Amino acid sequence: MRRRPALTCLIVIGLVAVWGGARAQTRHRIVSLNLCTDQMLLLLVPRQDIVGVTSLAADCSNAVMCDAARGLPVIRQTAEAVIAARPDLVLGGVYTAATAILAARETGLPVMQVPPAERLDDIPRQIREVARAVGVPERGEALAGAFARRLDALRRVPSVTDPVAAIYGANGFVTDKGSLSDDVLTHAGLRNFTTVAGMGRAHFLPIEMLIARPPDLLVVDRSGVGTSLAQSMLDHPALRDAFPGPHRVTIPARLWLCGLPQTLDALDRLARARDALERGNR
Amino acid sequence: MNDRRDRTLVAILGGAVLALFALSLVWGESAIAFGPACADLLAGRHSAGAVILGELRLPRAILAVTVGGALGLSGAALQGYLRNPLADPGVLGVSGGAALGAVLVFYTGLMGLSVAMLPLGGLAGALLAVLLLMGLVGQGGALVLLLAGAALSSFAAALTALALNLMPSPYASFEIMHWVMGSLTDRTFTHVWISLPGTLLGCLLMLTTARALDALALGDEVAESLGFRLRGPAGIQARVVLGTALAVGSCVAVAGAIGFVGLVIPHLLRPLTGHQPSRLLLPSFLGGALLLLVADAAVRVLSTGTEIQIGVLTALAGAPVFFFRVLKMRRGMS
Repeated sequence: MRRRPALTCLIVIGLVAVWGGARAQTRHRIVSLNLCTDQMLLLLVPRQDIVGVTSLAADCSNAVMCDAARGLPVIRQTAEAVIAARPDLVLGGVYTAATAILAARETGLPVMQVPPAERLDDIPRQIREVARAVGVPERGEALAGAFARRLDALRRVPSVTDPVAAIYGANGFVTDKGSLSDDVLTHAGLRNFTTVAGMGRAHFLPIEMLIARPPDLLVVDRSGVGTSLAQSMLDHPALRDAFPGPHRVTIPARLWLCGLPQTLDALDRLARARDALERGNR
Repeated sequence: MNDRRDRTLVAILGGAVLALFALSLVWGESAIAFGPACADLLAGRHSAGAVILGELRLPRAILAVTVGGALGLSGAALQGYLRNPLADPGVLGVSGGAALGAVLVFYTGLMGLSVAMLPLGGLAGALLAVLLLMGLVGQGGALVLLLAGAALSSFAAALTALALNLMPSPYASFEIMHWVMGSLTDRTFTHVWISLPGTLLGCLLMLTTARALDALALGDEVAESLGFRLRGPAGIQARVVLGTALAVGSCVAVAGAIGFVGLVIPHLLRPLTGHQPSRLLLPSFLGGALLLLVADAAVRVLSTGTEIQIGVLTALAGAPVFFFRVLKMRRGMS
């Protein structure tokens, strides 16, 4: 009876030594201060190793893995809360929770900051990096490999004759190039409206202007919970009538808010919408 | 109420409203071929021009007329009833109350039950505000009325801001400007249909008080001796209160609290209608409609990036009138 804990101990030490050799140390008290790293963690590590995620992680309008995040401890984005959680790794974004991340660094905690994914190719790289940091490189390798294979199966070769699509969000926000969603458009064989229409640096486009120079496909980018004027604008009957049937597709913002394997679901939907558009034109 | 002497004024105002209504259909943010767009619209084709004309510009122009008209008329009726030239649904906090009611319905999802909940929320808020105002002021004078109005409107604005901050939508707290300043951007025919019944009914109620308002100008006793009932369910007070609440509540629910229309229009038209409250009502409706059509056109000219709220422009036009009245009151006191 007494030998069993000792044996377990030996096995654990052995495992740590193996991973240590691969310069990876398994972390068991991980704190995440960013919605995107929250979801990355959920993909990679067992739940009990996560000691804090953001409150957004369980919000289904923002997080695609909201169901998995339910019941995980939510941590406030303050220096005090982070240090009091005694994490062995702090994951965060580049722009948010700056003070908490600085404090974690100063107290000597290992910190990893993950910038927002701007291209689909960033996603497998980030998965591998985070997997290495939390000590599960094999799991990361498997996920990244699966991502790359699915991307290859879905991607279209871009051409100058591709149909034009506008990503239209709350308040009339039009997504410009240099963003993840723009890269998803390109991979689906669509050209971004902002690169074609010559609308300058305008990020907000009134409904009337959009209808006057209509793109072939309206990609409605829905985000956020609750009712608001900003959201109800996307339900305006003028948009419904000006972009009927195959000229309109809705992509929930949670699919491409963060670069995740699920972002390929957005690519899949857009590629299908593009095919439907081509069939309609023929 | 429709005096022969006012025919020219009413004709000129009516003509100008029609002309500006047409202009706001023809001209907008984008250039569309008006003739073909009209033909497409009538034939039921969803061409870009037809959609822009029929579903964006038309509801917006109709609302400019009904909302502006209702606010102008409410101002004239309130000023006649309270015998105070500074009375206006915005200044007195009625619009603010309506905005609060509409916000509570719109953002909490009560509107999911039925779109008709939105004007009902506005109506409830407006009615509560008018009743509170009347109760607060009682037989107090002009100063008491304006103080009560100022307190009520800032209280309603604060509660509106609080309500928006507590709503789940991340966009809600940025939409305070729409509700306290007002805007006609992206309104649909649904908004026209839900606001029209209340607006029309309220306006008709206010128009029935015309002759009573003339009598009231001579004092309560004179009015009663002439056979006009002040209190009671069909009295002048009830009709003015209910009429204002119905019209303002329905309008604010769809367009936000556009201010100063009810203040500036009766003020400008009063000398032209012989300072007689009854003759002021119809011209004030037309004048209010005209002011909002002009302000809405100006919004479209002046806006480059994000749109300017229409209430900002009416406030810019209305505030000087307010200052002028205040100066005149001061001279009258000293």
